[in-house]
Amino acid sequence: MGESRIGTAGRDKPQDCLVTVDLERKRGINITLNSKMEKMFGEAIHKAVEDALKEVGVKAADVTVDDFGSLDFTIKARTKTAVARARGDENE
Amino acid sequence: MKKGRRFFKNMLGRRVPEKANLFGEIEPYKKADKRHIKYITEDQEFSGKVVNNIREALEKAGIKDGMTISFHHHLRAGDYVLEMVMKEIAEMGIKNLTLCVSSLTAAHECLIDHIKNGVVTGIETSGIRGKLAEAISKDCILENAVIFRTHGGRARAIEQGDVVIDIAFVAASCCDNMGNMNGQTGKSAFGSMGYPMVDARYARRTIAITDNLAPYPVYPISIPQTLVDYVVVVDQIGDPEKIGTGSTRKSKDPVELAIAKYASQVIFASGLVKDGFSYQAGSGGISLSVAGYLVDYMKEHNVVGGFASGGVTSAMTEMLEKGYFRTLLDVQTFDAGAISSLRNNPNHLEMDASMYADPFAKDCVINNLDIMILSATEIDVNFNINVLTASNGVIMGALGGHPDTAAGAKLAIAVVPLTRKRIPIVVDEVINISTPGESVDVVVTEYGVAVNPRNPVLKEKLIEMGMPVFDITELRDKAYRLTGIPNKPKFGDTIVGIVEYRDGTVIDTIMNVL
Amino acid sequence: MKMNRMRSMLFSPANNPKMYLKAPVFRPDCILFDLEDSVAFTEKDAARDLLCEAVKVLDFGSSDVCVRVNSLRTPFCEKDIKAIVPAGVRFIRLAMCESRDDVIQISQMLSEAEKESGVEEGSVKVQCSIETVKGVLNARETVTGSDRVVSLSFGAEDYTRSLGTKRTREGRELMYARMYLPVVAAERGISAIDTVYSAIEDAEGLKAEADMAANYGFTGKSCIHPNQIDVIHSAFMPTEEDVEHARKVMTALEDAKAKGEGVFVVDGKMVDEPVIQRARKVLMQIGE
Repeated sequence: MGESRIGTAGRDKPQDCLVTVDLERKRGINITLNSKMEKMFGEAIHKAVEDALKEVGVKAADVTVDDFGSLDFTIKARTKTAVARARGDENE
Repeated sequence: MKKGRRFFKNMLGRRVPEKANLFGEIEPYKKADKRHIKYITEDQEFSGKVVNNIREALEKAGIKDGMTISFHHHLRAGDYVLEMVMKEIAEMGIKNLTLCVSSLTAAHECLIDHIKNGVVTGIETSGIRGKLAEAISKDCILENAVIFRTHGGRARAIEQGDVVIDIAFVAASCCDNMGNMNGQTGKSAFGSMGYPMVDARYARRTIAITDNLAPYPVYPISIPQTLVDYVVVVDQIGDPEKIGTGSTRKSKDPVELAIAKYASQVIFASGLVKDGFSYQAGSGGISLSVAGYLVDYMKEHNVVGGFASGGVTSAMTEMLEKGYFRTLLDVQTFDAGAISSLRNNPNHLEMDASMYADPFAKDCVINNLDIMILSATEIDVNFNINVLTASNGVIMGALGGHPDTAAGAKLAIAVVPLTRKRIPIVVDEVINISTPGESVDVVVTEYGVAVNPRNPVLKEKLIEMGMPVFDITELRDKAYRLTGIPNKPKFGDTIVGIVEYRDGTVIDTIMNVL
Repeated sequence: MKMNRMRSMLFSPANNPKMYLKAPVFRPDCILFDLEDSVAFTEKDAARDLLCEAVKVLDFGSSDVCVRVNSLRTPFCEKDIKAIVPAGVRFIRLAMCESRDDVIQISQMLSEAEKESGVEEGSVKVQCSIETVKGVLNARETVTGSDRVVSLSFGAEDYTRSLGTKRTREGRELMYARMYLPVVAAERGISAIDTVYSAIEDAEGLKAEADMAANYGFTGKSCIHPNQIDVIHSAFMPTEEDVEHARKVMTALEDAKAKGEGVFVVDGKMVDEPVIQRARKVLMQIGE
């Protein structure tokens, strides 16, 4: 298949976020967060990403989150979609 | 008459006694003090108080290190005057000035450099925004803590001598050669001169700065010549585009409309909307929508209000023109429509900051206010409101007349969305208190309302009406459930701001943000 | 089968995070989260994931939740069902529903998903969205396809296209469908939801259309902007007299039951089953 193991989901719009997941990584989860909300909600955002990854069975990944003031449910959703896209579970 | 009274002759050859009963010691007439040139001489033409430029005015006024100078912000984001004057002052090498301004806007970022260069070492203001505020909050560029005062509190401080203004710089869109001025006519018209009307009465020196020197006498007279020392004529005192754009359009956002609807229902439930009532609101979208509902109600019930005050927008002047209110009391005019109304409508009255809200004046307008609609950056479970600092602790707003009107109004309603993006607005504890909770009667969000426990009767009424009434802690919990509980900002040890209540007592301290 | 009142169904594009917070604020009777036409093909997965996460944690207040899933003739439909049922969705609108077979097919899909999630079979209810000529003509049989069907809705845009004509303000091209569908719904005892009125600024036009729909027998209307909700709610509210009568009927019914009587009279008229059903419907519409 030779697909790149990178997937992106979400939009650059208020209350949304852009999540990019790279499944190439061998071990551990690495999250890079770009958000104006980092000081206030940094830990919560990290946890949302980690929970989402766990729920879809990802143990190792590089994740970049560009956040525009999104709530946890949005972060989780975008992360899960990005993972599915990285895995190649594409839409037709 | 006592014997042995002495007489002597004055300059006109008349006998005057040395002393007389009620008069005491007598000073005899000397030479007439002819300040002005008479017609028959060939001397220079009389130019009144007009001087050639700002520099000359500064020199004549005797600007020195360590003085307190004042500016007003009626020109809002379109102000050129503060920057022009500060540039001259800096070039003259003056240092350590305290700025006592009515507020600061985006037009005043030049102050960052002046502060860094030691020209300005103190600021007393209603608010600070943008880069300047960030520089003060985060980089601690200002040597002394900023003193934040309300509009009423500033008037009080000036009148009671807490602040002594050495030189007041008053931008005027229309001014004559003797210093009679107003803000109502001219290319840079901005409306009411509510704030500097107080400054001019108490400042040691007052310098008028205008781009429209009109024939004597100018009228209407907002600040009379009797208070003015010098007049400077410049090309532009401000940018007319930015001066006249203070207000917003009616909201189309469903959340704001929902808030406005609930707020208007609270107002009607209070029973305060009857003939002669008074009303004030901010200039945001929610306030405009509330005004819309209010007008419909007034039409239906045939109510005519006594006055509306503020912060006057064209939405309010429309209400005046249509006869919904008898008068408007205007301390600051927000847009072109309102400026025109002030000029043309005899029922649209200018008022100064003291008349508006001075807590120590014999009385002030806001004490007669029935209904006030307030905004907020945050509200906590004790109904305390923050309008000064953002949730990250950085200064970004202004007290304005917020604490004044909340204290004076019979019914003070705070209208806020429960969250703004990911930031909870109803919180456990506000970062800084601008308006104490005892002045705030009702909080209205898009989910429903919370009533201050001091108003049990109103609360009952709203529940009876079928309004969604919550305990304020429930609103806080709702907000936190959506956003999560935010980390508190990390503060340092430097005091960057002191929040003064209207009466001069200190209500809170603002620390630097790390 | 108990259904909450559904005078309004507010469309909410499922891929838009903001809408999840805004939609409940105006208290529509039902929020219709859309996975179909308002979501681009390339974003169907994202919209689905976002909807599922939102439904799991958010409180929509007094509003019910309905999800418009993609048509059976697309590959998205099955994925939608498989995801939203475990997430907790219990009411779907099936787009482009044309025949009894469609209903049977979706019903089977739902049964599988319910089994997978350990949810009682039949828990998820269906609203058939009739949007084509074929759909209108088949409606009477379609709605009998399953007990899950509790409602039908009418979609004028696609219907007009399939009819080969243009939409007009008066809506004469929709008359047949608008008269027929409520009759179908009434026979089956399900609710009937009229199509959206797209001129958001035109409150008068909306009122006229909503009143007309109510007259034809529709019990509610879809809408695309919260501003439309109040107007729609008043159009589909029963009148004072209706409410009073309904209450009388229910009281009389209780009395008759207690006395063991089968037949009774209210306001001088015999009360038979249709009258009782109507009374129940009226009270449901006002939330009693």
